Amino acid sequence: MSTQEPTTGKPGDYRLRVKNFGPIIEAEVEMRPLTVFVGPSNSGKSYLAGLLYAMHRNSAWAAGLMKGDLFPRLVSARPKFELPDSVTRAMYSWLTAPEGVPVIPEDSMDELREACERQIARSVGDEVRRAFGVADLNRLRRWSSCGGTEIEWSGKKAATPGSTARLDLRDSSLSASISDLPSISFDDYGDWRHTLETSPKDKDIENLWIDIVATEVILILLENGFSSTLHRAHCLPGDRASLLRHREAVVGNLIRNASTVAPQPAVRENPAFPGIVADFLEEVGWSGSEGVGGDYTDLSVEVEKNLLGGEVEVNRQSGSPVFLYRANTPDSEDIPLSRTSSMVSGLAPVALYLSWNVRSGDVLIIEEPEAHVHPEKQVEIARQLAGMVRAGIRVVITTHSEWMVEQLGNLTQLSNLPKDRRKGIEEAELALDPKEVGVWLFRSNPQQGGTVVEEVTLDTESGLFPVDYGKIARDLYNQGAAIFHRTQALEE
Amino acid sequence: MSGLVAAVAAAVAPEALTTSCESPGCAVSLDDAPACRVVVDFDRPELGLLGQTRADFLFVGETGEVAWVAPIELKGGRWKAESVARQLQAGADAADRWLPAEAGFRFCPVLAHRMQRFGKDRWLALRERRIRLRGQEQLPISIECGRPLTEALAQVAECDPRPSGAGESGPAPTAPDDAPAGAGPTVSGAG
Repeated sequence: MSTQEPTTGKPGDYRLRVKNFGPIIEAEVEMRPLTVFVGPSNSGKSYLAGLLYAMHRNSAWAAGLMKGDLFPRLVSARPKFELPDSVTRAMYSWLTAPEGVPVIPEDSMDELREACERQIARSVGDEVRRAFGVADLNRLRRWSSCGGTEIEWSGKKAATPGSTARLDLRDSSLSASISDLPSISFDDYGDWRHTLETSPKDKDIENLWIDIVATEVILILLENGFSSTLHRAHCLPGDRASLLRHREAVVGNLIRNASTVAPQPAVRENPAFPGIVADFLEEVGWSGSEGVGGDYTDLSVEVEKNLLGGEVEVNRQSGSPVFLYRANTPDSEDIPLSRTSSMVSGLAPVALYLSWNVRSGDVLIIEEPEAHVHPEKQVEIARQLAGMVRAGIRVVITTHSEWMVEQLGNLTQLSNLPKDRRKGIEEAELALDPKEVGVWLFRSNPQQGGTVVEEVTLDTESGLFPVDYGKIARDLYNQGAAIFHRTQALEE
Repeated sequence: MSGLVAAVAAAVAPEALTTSCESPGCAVSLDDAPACRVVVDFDRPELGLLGQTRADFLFVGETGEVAWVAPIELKGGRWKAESVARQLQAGADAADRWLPAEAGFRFCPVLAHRMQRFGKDRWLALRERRIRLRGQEQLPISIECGRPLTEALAQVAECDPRPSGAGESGPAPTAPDDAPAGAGPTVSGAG
């Protein structure tokens, strides 16, 4: 039996390619410690962020299977894969062959891969449906497209070969294919041979052992390809301010309705929360609970101090959390978040998640962190995000904020400066290596009826990520120039 | 007609007259521009401006009612507001030497540029630049490379309430006798 401690993978980079997904015609992005999606409204930034979230959530079960004692988790995982008898027989032959066979025979690997593919298609499909709150995946197909949706991800950096998984959605049917899987060496499974030889000669027991071996192989295959998505992800949706402000009322009503036995008045079909929203309402509700906690209380304090200008308190006296805010001003009082500014209620979840939810290596997706925030504080948000990256959180944001992007440009530019030349620069510790930052521009392509996504790299001359605000500035300039011409003519 | 076109055509060395506005990486289309026009290429050595700050072209055109004077700077790559303003001002200064003393015209300095993805800083900087000609002080109008010049002229025309042709007079323009052979109608639509 393999004694190697299974790993949950490191939060390394991976590549994601989608085609005909939401408004996106095609996108290929490489995830970095800080990944920024920028572009016009309705261009698919949140779609791609939601997909990332779903993929990480999907992998959560696999991450769970890779922790703890080997045997129970393999038994737990075994039924998921629905291995055909032919695999069981082939694996048995491989493990018990007197002459020894160095790797799993190709035919068996093919069947294991197919089992793997079935599981990926099923679990990813379920999670994507849940995250977006759609019963039919076709709802996520690009509207003006006749082609199918493709989702492909590679577990390693684009520059290096690695396992690649691809999902194809056609006619509501999702299929998966994976390539470049590693061969499985007998050396790692020699112990299983001994187990089989010494176990009671019972066919059912033998089959169980073999299934378990096959299950472990599948888990290894999954881990090989997708270790980078095995980390927990959290998503703070774009409307989090409103959700948090009214969470108490929403949850209270849900509980009251759930306890009603009598028939409810006839209403239209109850709308359901998309998984992203439901998860947010649930996770933010863990705040202040015993037994839960994030790794980043210090960063949370920084967010409170530098962005919120006050502290966010969680009162759990009634069991359900009540969120309160107290400004850092003399004689201030606790006030419910429902009465705070949109800026406070929009950024309070960031502080809460850092304290209570986010752990090292987790992925934190924040949609439009700049919403409702003054430009001066938007710049501060960018600093805080850099601090999160420095602390080991993988951050993904969608944004319209040129201020934030400009600050991130400065912080990236800063890394070009030797450390001994950064003295006196306030953000010296927040420098971001260009390799850590991926800025992806979503651009409208009216001819094709959708959006294309391309990476923008730091312009070393201007120190900016060129994210297409120039056209807006140009149009505003021309408008101003035309008005100026008219004004001049009046004066003449 | 104001006679502006004819006056400039007569004042400028014929070799410096051209029929198009093109430089490596950028061009401005003259489609639908006033047919009665003259275009001066500042890069021609006959003007004696090589080595000096200068615009790329000077467009002078007129319809029956309106005359236009438009120094044009073409930028196929990066540009800075300060240098663009200096170049357009140089173009305006040259026009000042060639235009008749009492000419009435609409002044429209033009920056043609590629739509590169840079920030708004250069547009803010350009907003602070004024190009001056004969008492008129204007901001450059910008258009993208490849777009017609009329796109820029229209911006000024649509917002200019002055009576058309006011104070304009003079003989109808004629093509100069020594226009470069094969260069097409350097001054076209005369009369």
